[in-house]
Amino acid sequence: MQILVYLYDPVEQASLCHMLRAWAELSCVAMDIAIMQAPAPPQAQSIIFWDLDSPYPPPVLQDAGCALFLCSRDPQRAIDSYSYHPTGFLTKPFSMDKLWDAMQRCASLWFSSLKRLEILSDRLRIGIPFKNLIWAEGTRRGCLIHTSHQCLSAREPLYQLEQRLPATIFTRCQRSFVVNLSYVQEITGNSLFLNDGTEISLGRGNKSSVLEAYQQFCRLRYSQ
Amino acid sequence: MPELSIAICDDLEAERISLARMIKSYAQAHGQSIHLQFYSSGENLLAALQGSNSIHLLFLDIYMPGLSGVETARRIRAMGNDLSIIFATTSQDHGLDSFEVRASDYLVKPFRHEDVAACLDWFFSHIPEPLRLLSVYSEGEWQKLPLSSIYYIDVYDHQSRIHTPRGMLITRRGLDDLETAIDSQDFLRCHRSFLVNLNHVTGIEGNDFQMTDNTLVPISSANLARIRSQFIDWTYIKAWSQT
Repeated sequence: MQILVYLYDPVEQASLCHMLRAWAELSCVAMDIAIMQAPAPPQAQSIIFWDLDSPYPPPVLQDAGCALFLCSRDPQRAIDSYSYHPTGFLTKPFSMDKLWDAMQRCASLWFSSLKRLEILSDRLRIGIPFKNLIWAEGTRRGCLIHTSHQCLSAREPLYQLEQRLPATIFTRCQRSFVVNLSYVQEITGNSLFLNDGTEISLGRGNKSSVLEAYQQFCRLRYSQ
Repeated sequence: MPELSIAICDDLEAERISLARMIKSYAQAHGQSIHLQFYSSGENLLAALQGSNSIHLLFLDIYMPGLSGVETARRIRAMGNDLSIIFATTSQDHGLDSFEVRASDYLVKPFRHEDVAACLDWFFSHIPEPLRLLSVYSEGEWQKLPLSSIYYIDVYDHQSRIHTPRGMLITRRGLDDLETAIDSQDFLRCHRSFLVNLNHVTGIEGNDFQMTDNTLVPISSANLARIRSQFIDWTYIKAWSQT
């Protein structure tokens, strides 16, 4: 699976590629992002971003393993674009939120490219996509890993597990807690609130590093 | 193809009648069996969907008294309903909104019979997965089952048993053959003798899938971890694709 970008304007092209790289990094997805220098027939297993403002018409996709997003400066072209049956339509200038929504729409295409944390839990080897891991807490016998669907115990100590987590989205917020910054809703006072309702108190020594990590995360997430 | 339910939601009766005529004419020409439903407001439509009414394709006007078509579509998606929506409206200002609610097409009034036919051509050639059919020879006749109606299939005494809400169908087709014919991400071979429709799974209990009809479908113990991961991945994909 790869992402193909065909945009006429080099500035818009650079902007979209920058956002796509940020999305891939924050979602922990291993995918190539390739720029198409000239219109070419679509390749199988691709997510294609195509410029409707260019003189070339978008490709007609027959393959269910492809997604097509049409991009234009003119929002009115959204209606015309239906004749190509795209997966989505993006207006320029691009926004990270809209791009994020667009990528969610074709989750089935990139899901197999998600990087995973391999753990041994209850004698079963399980690969949890980093994107789905919300937080982990250290316990006497190892650690508990919370995902949005389940809670898994592992014998591995938290510090060891932490070393295998990507630092862009995970941070240690207390001696026994590591959180995924993608799920942080708010940081107030000495607490960090996750969007599943969990409140985790911030360790005195961790507060400034958590705030800094969160600011860096937000810069990337909102493409500031 | 089972009878497809097509709904038209428009506050103007003349528009509903005109569109219905075009749809009926298309269905007749293409030998499609359809059932038409009519709604004069978004509120009526939502009430019907909250009841037991099933709609596969909806032609939705945008400017209506009360709830607008766009707001109605947002509420349909918020209900988790994945029916195909085609906006049929005089307005050209809601192209972006239509993508936001995952509409399949956008018709601008006044439209011609050919425009409606093109929309329906696309719909029928990209039938949503739950409406796809599985053909099986059972009890002396060919039967067509919508994939969505299958809970699971198991093998018993060299025959395959297809479990549905209406009971069990027995066929001599092998499970490998049925799995190939179904070819759907919603179906998982969880055991040598079981193929399960994940849409009907409520959770995992030990080494079994707990089904919506409270039966238990065994998971191969040798592949438990892989199958558990596949099921969890499937739930993520399903949830993310519908956001």
